[in-house]
Amino acid sequence: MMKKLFFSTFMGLAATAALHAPARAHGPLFSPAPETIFKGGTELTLGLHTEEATGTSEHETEYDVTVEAVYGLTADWEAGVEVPYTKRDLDGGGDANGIGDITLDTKYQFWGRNLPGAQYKASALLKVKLPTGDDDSHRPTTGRGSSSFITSEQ
Amino acid sequence: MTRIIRTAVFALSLLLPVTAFAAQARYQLQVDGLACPFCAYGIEKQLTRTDGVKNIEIDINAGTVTVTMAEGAAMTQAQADRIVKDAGFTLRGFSEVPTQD
Repeated sequence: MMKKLFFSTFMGLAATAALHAPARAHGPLFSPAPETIFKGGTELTLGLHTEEATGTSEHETEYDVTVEAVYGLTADWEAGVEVPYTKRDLDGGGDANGIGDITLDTKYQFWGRNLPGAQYKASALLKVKLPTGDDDSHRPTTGRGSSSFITSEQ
Repeated sequence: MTRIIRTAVFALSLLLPVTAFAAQARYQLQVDGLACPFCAYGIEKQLTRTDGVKNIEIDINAGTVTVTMAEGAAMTQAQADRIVKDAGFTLRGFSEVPTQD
């Protein structure tokens, strides 16, 4: 009952985020971009990811609905949080759903040059994935159970 | 007759300063880095948060932002520079332009 209520609330928030999510600048769709949001700006993004994997004896399906919020601390520095809601079905092995591993990220644009009609920018990105998901080993899990760090320069 | 003319001239002289105060200041900002509609969105957001800004026109191709202020409000170049910088761009030019009537 509690999980159902939580799932409905999460989906409602995700739908609200989707309605208010502006398209992010001129960055690539599937890789990080060097752009940072303007000072005091906020951005909410809704993501949906599905994955299927078939092994020798089992079949697994995973659905992730992710809400990402970004805030512009300055014109060059932004901070964000990414909250996934994960549902995993394992044929013959049960299913699990709940909050997955939450990611905190920050991006700093350390170099930039504005020209008429063009921008050149370089940024550093740090992402920290927290072990907030359920990592119970007796059923499909919604989290990895460990922290991970991602750093990147764009 | 002279009295009527004097009264009319006096009345007109009273109207002149009122007309001058009623004018809305307009500024044209030449902005470097304006490359897409999202850029325009960012700079528009920053300007709408500024007191006294009544209307904003952005020409991405020309790289210009024209700002019309409310009556009695004004914008300084330092203020414009700060706004443009907070939006992530560079102010290249700032000038007051004649009001559109």
